[in-house]
Amino acid sequence: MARALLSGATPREVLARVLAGDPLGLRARVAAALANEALFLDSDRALLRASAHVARFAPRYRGQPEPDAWLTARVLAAVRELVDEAHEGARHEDATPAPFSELAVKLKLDPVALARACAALNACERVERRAFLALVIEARELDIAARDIGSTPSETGRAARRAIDAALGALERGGAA
Amino acid sequence: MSAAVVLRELSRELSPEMCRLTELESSRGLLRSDLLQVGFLAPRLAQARAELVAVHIAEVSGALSAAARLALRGLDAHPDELAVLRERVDEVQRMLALDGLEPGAALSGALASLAQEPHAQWPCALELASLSVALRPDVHSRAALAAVLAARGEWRSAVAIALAVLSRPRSAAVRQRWLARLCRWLERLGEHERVARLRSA
Repeated sequence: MARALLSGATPREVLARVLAGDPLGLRARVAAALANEALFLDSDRALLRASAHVARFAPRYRGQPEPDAWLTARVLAAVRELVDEAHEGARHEDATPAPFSELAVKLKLDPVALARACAALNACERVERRAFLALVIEARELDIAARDIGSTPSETGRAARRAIDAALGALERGGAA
Repeated sequence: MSAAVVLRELSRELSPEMCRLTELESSRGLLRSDLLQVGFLAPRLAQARAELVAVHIAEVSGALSAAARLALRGLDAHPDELAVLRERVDEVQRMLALDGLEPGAALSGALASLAQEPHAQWPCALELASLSVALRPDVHSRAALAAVLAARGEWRSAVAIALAVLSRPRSAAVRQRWLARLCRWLERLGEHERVARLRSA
């Protein structure tokens, strides 16, 4: 089914196909990629960018690698692109509303500050992000988090500390991000 | 998703009267469900199209950065690499055209030249790299521009780009790479003490 959806159309047409009802399961793939990489991104925007990636590169797709692997690669490329853009503070003119704005309001935080902290976290090493996610966001026990990450409790604690320092540093630096 | 599936989904939310109506007027119902589906998707599709434009822009910028690096190498550029780049630029142009996107005159002229003209007649490396950064200022386009500037001996401009890159959150690997470049260019400017401070930090 994936090949039929991806073939014989312009990128815009493929985009409309993959958005309607999510026939390629992109939402689940994006969620898995964000969780696996422990990235702090607007997941809905990531889904739209992933859909756009799939659409843009669909005319180039000739069945290799297998659709599953190809779609996963496209999702990862889309997520990396968004991380890069967040680092630059670059936003394209017609993109979705500022990420995290609703969440920031609920948390009584400045949306710009929250976005800046997320960009700093996304620049951390994966192990640091995973430790931060497990210990700070998910409030898991240190031993369990360390086991899941495949590290020692002390190193997991240190990794989370580095991520916290990066986020706080970004907030303190003000307009840097 | 077929119109029939959409209709079934919609029917779950409708009153019994409406369900009967949709069953009786199935052809009209199908048409209505198609329209409703389009209506639901419209704002989301518009957002997704904006993301698609961003992906197109990233691809054009990437091709221009690659071209700038090849232009910088001049006669050393290998014919195979030039062929790969031409293919890439050609694909970029086709995809833009398929989606009805028309680049501005400067960009479209540069792309046409890269795709069709001999390497020697390409726009200069600085122009290509500048276009790339203007389209999408990321680490890749900035790296190409800084490399071009450094090759022209414009060390201060290259240093300014490196400092701008390093002022943003970056992964350790990217930070290390740019610090090495920054040190190299500062050395050229004779700022050895600054380099020593950066290396010891």
